[in-house]
Parts: sequence; C-alpha cells; structure tokens
Amino acid sequence: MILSRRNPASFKLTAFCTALFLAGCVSVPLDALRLPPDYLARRSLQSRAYETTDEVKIIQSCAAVLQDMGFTLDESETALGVILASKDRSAVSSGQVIAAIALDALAAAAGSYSNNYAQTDKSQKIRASAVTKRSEDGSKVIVRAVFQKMVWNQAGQLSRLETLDDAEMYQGFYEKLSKAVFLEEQKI
Amino acid sequence: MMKFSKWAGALALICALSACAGNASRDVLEPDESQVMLRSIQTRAFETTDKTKLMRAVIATMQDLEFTIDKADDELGAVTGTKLYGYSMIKMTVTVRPKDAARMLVRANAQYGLKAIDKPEPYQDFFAALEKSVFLQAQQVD
Repeated sequence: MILSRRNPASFKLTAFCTALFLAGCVSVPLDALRLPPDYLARRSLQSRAYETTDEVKIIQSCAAVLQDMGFTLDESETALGVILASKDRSAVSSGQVIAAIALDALAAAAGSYSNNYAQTDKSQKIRASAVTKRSEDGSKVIVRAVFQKMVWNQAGQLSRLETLDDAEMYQGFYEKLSKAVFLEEQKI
Repeated sequence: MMKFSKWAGALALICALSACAGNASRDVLEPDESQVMLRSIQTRAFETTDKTKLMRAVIATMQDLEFTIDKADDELGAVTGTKLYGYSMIKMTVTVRPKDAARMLVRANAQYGLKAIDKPEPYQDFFAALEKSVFLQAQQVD
C-alpha cells in the first residue's frame, strides 16, 4: 500500500518483478500428457482406411503425394510406417506489414518508440507427418496424417505453432492419395 | 518513505532475477530427481514380445496426445515428438526395449520448456492412454 500511494513508479516496478517471478517459476502442468476430450474426433478427421494389405505401397504413395504438395522429406522409418516432411514458405502479409509500419510511424510522430514491424509474420514452416498401420484384423491399412504450421516473426522468434484442423485440407490430401494408390479411401 | 519504496523495488528486482537461479551447469548431466525414483515413474512393462507393434502403439498414442512425431527409429526402439502446450513446447522421447522373454519395457521422458517433467501424474496419464491403444495392462516396474 505504501508503495502504491506514495510512489507509483516503484509500485509498477514491484508489480512487474512479481509477475516476472511468477512467470519464471512456472511449474510443469500435471495434465500435460492427458488425452484431450476430443481426441477421437481429431483421430477420425486425420485418418483414412484403405482396403489393402500392402502397407509399403501406401507409405510410398504418401511420400509421392507429399512431394506433389511441395514438401521435402525430413525423416522416414518405413519399418514403423512413419514419414515426416516439411516445406518453408513466406508468411509476409502486406496488410499486416502496412498496419505495423503505420503504428510505428504514429508512435514516432508522438515522440515515442515502438517496433510493431518486428512482430509481423516473416516465414512459416508447414510440417506434415504421415503414419500408417495395419487395422486390427489386418485387412486394411490406416493412414493418419497431421499437418502443423509454425510461424516466425521478423525478429526471428517462433510466434505461432498450430495443428491445422481444416477438414477440406485433409480431404484433399486423401483424395490425392486415393488417386495415387487406385483405391477408394474410407472414413473411420 | 520514497527511499524505502526505491529499496523495496530494487529488492523485488533482485528476488525476481534470482528466484529461479540454480547451478545451471549441474543440471546438464545430473538427473533432477533420485535416479531410481525417476526411472520408476517413467517406466512400465507390457506383456508382449512384439516390439514393432508396441512402438506403433506408442506413435498412435503420441498422435492422440497431439504430439508431432519428430523422429522414429525401429532398431533403436525410440520415438521422439513435440507439442505446444500453452506457450511452451513439450518434447518427449519414448523408448521400447525387451525386459525378459515375455515382457517389453517402455520408458518415457519429457521436458516442458526448459524443465524436466518429473512428476508422476503426466506419466500415469501417458501410460493410461498407451494401455488403451495396445489393449494391455501396464505393469509398474521396481
């Protein structure tokens, strides 16, 4: 109380340091490895089944489709049915850059400094993983693909990481895969 | 009174900066918990001899937990994945190796940002999810 009434600057410093103290010592969340409630819906969105026993053919086709989509392969382990691929693209949006520069110019005109431009998106990496496995009865091969987007800002910091949940994108991937293997994909 | 509040501010700053300071170089090679305790928290045995099937179940479970697989090695029996939780990354490696003629050992270790996850609850959740995926009971290992 003494601090807040008599010296606002010092109060702000204390509040800032308390926030820093609490943030610095953030503890590990106990539910970090708990199944999310919507995991079955997500699994269904990301997976398709193909009526074949030729798992190698499916995984080879996954690699071919990812290459068609502009991805380069980062890792593969065919014994486990795993393919990992990525592509790097620009994330610069002219609207975002213009707004940031306008804000910085306004701040400069008002005599203060701001650097909103550094926070604008610069580059993005789309990561794709495709994992195949046999169904329990062995009659089908199930493919699960996951697409993820990582975005870096002009300051070089990772500013966003998100799993892409767009149903159309997954549908597009599986349609291409169906054409590649000459089989109709089935929702599971 | 002004002087007092300045000192209070400075003291708070020192506290904030030193709050989480530890001996950083010591953390690099030493486990944070007692090694035996940590191993027991992170390990379970499963009654199967099919290593590849168990590894595939580990990969499926990690995908259900929203991990992106970064590396998988069948021979080594290791799978590594990452996921975003809040504003920090969780990175986890799971290894599968034979324990005896009838059982396989699964060991998971994870880090949250710059901290090792050494509490039992997250690993209990992981093994519960893995049990669902392999239809096998996870056994505590001493």
